[in-house]
Amino acid sequence: MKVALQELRKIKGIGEVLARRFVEAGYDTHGKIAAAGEEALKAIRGLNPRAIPSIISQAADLADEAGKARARRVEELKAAAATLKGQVEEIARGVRDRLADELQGKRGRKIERELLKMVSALERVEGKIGKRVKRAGKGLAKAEARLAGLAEQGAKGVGKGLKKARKSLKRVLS
Amino acid sequence: MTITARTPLWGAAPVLLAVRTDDFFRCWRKVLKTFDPEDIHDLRVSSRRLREGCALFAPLYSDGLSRVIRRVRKVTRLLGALRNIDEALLFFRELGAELPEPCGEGLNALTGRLEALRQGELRRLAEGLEKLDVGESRAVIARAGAKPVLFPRPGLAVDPFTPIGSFAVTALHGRLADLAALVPAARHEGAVAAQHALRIAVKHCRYRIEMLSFLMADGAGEILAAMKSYQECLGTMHDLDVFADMVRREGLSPDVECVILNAIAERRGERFARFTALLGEHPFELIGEQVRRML
Repeated sequence: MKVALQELRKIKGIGEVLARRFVEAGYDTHGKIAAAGEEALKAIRGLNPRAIPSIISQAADLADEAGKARARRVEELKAAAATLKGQVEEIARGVRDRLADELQGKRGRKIERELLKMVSALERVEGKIGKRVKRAGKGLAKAEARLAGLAEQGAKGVGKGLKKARKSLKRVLS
Repeated sequence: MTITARTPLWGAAPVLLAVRTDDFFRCWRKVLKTFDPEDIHDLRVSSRRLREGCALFAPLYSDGLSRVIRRVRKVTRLLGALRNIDEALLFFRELGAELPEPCGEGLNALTGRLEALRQGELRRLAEGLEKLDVGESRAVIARAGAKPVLFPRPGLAVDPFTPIGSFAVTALHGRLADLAALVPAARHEGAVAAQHALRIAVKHCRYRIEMLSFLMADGAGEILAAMKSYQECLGTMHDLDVFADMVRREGLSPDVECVILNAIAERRGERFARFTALLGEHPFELIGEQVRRML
């Protein structure tokens, strides 16, 4: 509610009181106001009918801007997910080259499992980015931080680091 | 997910197999709802595509995806009999309308028997699909496909870090070489077995190209169209051979049998002429060259 009120107050001509009345009437986003039409908005108490066209036009502009910004962010996050996948591939390559002796037994299979789970988690996150922009942004940033430096770690560190990085994506997928 | 020619095999294989798996189970669920002949055909094709995907990436998996291949093959086989009956029904109904009496009467008896058979096959299919359990099958196949080997192990035939681009070159070269080797024998009109072997090889090769076509610079549309023409042409020739056998076993009067077999032979002759023309228009060596250039 608080966020919706703040957003509506970005429109010139809508103050604290009117914003509350808009929200109470079900118009809690710029998009909904832009789509409502003049007649529907006339029902809101205290709204000057002469201000309605300007409010609708501002709401349409703001909704359009928000949509574009969101689309840009989604693209950025998709690129970030792809970069992280590349990073995981590099870690796998590094592990294979540096720790060949340790990869034959149980430890090797464990790292293998973690690497595959991480890639699979990133793929699932990619699929959710469009719907969960904020969560995906936070999750990917955390995962990136946790993956950084893993290329130089020992086998145990790589396994643990991958698990932590994967867990940071959990909230995006839940 | 974006896969490029440089994506390592272990990263690309599970994704490409997942695409085929999703399609296979989408078709399976559709068949369970409708049991429509077209949906049955789509599921059969989808099962073959998935099997080709498994065969392609098998060297990357510790068990060679053998359990997955076995399970999917069961579905393909389960659908085969019904599909063959549907094809035969369609063909003999059309032929019955074209040929003079008393051929129509003989063919009516044959189609009537096929329809009765179809009912039995439909029941068998429904029971068989239920027994295979779509949910469990999906879990088994998805789990197996998501677990390629990453780090070298004894007996692993391929390096999991090979870029998918170079892997594709080798994989397609193998299939295309198989095709070229089968052509000389299939050029003889009576070489039914050789033509059948070529048909199967074309099918495998087409599905493999389809799966790896995203790596081809200019798209593989033209190549795939040529492969489809081959497959359809050789497929019709094979179907006509099967239909001729059915007519011979039906015990029709010699006159009627002769007219029907002649009509079938005429159609087969036309198809064989088309096949020969295709070999001239789109020789497999040229297709191989185009594929190599595009990768």
